[in-house]
Amino acid sequence: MAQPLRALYPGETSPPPRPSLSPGSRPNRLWIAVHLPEVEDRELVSLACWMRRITPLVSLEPPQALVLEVGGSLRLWGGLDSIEEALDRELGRRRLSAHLCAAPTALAALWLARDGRKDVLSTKRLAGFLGALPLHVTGWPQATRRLLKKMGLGTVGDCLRLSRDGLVRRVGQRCLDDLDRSLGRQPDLRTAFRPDRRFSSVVEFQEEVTSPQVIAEAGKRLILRLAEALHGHQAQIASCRYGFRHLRRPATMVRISQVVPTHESRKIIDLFLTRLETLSLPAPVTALSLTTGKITPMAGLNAGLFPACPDRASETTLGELIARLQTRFSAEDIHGLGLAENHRPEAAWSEVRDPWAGFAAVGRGIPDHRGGIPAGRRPARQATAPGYPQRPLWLLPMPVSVTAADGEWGHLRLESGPERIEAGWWEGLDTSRDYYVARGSRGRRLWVFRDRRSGRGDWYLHGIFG
Amino acid sequence: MPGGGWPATGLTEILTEHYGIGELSLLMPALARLGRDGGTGCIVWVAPPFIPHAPALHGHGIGLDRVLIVRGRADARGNRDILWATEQALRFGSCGVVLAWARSVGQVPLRRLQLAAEAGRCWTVLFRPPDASRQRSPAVLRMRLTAIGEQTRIEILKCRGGRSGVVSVRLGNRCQGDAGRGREGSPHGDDGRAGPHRDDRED
Repeated sequence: MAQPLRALYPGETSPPPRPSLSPGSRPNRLWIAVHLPEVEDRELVSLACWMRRITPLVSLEPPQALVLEVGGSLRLWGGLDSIEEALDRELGRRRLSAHLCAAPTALAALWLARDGRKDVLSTKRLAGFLGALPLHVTGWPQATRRLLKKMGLGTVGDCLRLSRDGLVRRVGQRCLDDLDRSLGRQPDLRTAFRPDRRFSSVVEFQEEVTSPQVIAEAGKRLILRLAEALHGHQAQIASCRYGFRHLRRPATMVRISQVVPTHESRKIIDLFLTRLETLSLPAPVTALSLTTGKITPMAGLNAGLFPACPDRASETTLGELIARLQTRFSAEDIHGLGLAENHRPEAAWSEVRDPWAGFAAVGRGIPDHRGGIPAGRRPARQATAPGYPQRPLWLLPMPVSVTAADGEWGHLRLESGPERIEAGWWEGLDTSRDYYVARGSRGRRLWVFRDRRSGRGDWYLHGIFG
Repeated sequence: MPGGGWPATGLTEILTEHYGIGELSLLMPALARLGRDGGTGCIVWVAPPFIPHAPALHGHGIGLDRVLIVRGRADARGNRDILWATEQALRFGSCGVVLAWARSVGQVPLRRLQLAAEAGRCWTVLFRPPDASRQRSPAVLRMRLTAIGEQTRIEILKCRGGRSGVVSVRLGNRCQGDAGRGREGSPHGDDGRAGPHRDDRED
C-alpha cells in the first residue's frame, strides 16, 4: 500500500511506525479461558454476551468453555486480577462452577483451564507447563489419543518431543497445528463471538392467568422493553413471536408481522392488542414471552421537499392496515392485483403479494430496486387498446360447467361473440375456446365459452359482468 | 341524487340478490374518477364473491396499484371478520373506497360502520342480500337492484337529503347509466343523462 507523503520534522529520518488496529500484532496478548464442566449451551451464550463488556474478542469453545482476550483490556480494568475477580463474581451470581486460567495463547489457556492449573503469564515458561498436561485436555479425537498412548505418549510434552514429521505422519497435521498454536508459534485465528441480534424477554405470572387485561398489561411491558432495546440499537423489527406458556402443555405461539418494519412501541402494542382480542387460549397462562424476528438497522425516512407530501404517509398507513388485517386474515388472503401479458383470462391477472410496496412505487412513478415498475403491475397493452373485446368484472376461480349448473344460471341466450382465444400450448395448457357474452336467467350478463378441445364442445361459465 | 353523484363519505348500501346485473358497473366511473383526480386513497375489496378481474378493472380506468383485496371466508366467524376488516379499513383513513360483501349485518355493526365511514371520511359500499331491506339502516344511501329483462331497476330506498325513487337503466357496454358522474358532479341531481328510461316516483 502506498504511504501518504508528508514532510519530515527536523531530526526525523523516517515515518514513525503507524499503530496497527489488527489484534494479531498487539504486543502482549493475554487470554483467559473459562472452563465450565456443567453448563448448558444457552447459559454459555448468555455468559459470552456478558463477557463482551470486558473485551470484544470472546470466542466460544463448545461444549464447555470459552476464551477471551484480555490483553487490550488490562489497563481499563486495572490488571488481570480485577478482571478475574469480576468474572468470578458473575459466575458466582449465575451459580456456575468454573475454572479460570490465563495464558499468552488461547489454546494454552484452554488446556491449562481444563486441567485446573494456575495462570502462566510468561511465554518462555509456557512449554514447560504445557508439557506436564495429560493428553485429554487437547480435545483431540479419542482414536488419536489411543494411538498416541499405545506409542507411549501420555502428555503434551511427549508429543512436543516427537519429531514434527513423525507426528504429522502418525496423527495428522491438525495435532501439530494445535501444538504450534498453543505455544504461539502459529497465529491462532478465532472468530469473535457476536451476539445474535434478536430480542427475547419473558414476563412470568405469580399464578395462572386467564384475564385478558393482565395478559395485555404483561405484553405492553414486554413491548416497552423491546422498544427500549431497539432504541439503543437504532434498529427496527418486522415481526414478533409471542409465546403464551401454559402449565403441563406446550406453549401457544403467535407470530405477528408488522409488514412495515418499525421501532415504535405504539404500533407494536396496537397489533398485539388487536391479535389478543380474537386469540383463544387453550389454558390459563403462566408466562408470556416475546422473541423478535430479525432486527435490522433503522431505515431513515426521507422527508418530502414540500411539507404536504401525502404519498409517504399513505404508504405507511396502508402497510399498517395490512399488518392489522393480518392479525385475523392469513397473509395469502390479502393481496393486490396486477396484469399479466397473457390471453388466457385466468392467466391475464396476478395476485400481487406486497401491495403496499407496489402502491408506493407505482403511485409516484418511482421504479423499484430492479430498475423498473414492479412486475405484474405494468399496464398490459392489450386491455387498453380500443376495440378490445369486453371483459367481465367478475371472474370465476374455476370455469363452471353450465350444463351441470343449468338450474342456477338458467337458459342462456347468446348476445355477442364469438371471441376465440387459443393460447397456452407452449406452457402445456393448451386451450382453445370461443367466448360469448350471454344473458342468463334474472337478467344476468354472463361470460361463457365453448371448449373446442373437448370433443362435445362443452359450455362453461367463466365470468360475470358485474 | 343530492350533489349529483354518489355520497362522498358514509355508508352506501346496495341490496342485490344476484351478481351480474350491473352492480359493479354502476360504481366503475366513480371509482375510476377517484383515482384520476389525484386521490391517494386505495380501493379495498373486502370478501368479494368472485375474483375481481384485473383486465376489466384496468379497462374501466382503475389504477390496479390502488386495489387491495381481502379474501373472506364463508363461515360465521368469516362474516364477523369481514365486518371487522371493513371497519379497520375505514378507520385507517388512507382508503378512498371500501367495498364490502357481507351476508348478514346486525344493527350495531351497521351503525359502527356508518360512524367509522364518517370518521375516516371514506366512502363505503356494502353489498347485502335484498332481505336486508326489512332492517332499519343508518346508511346515507340505500338502493335495491333488480333486473327486469335486460334492464336494471334501481330502487332508491333511502337517500339522505334526497328523495326515494325508481330508476331503470340499461347497463350494457361500458356502463351508460347514470350515477357515474363522480362524487362531486354537477350540482343538479338529474340532468337528463340518466339511462334511457326513467320513471321517477315522487313520495
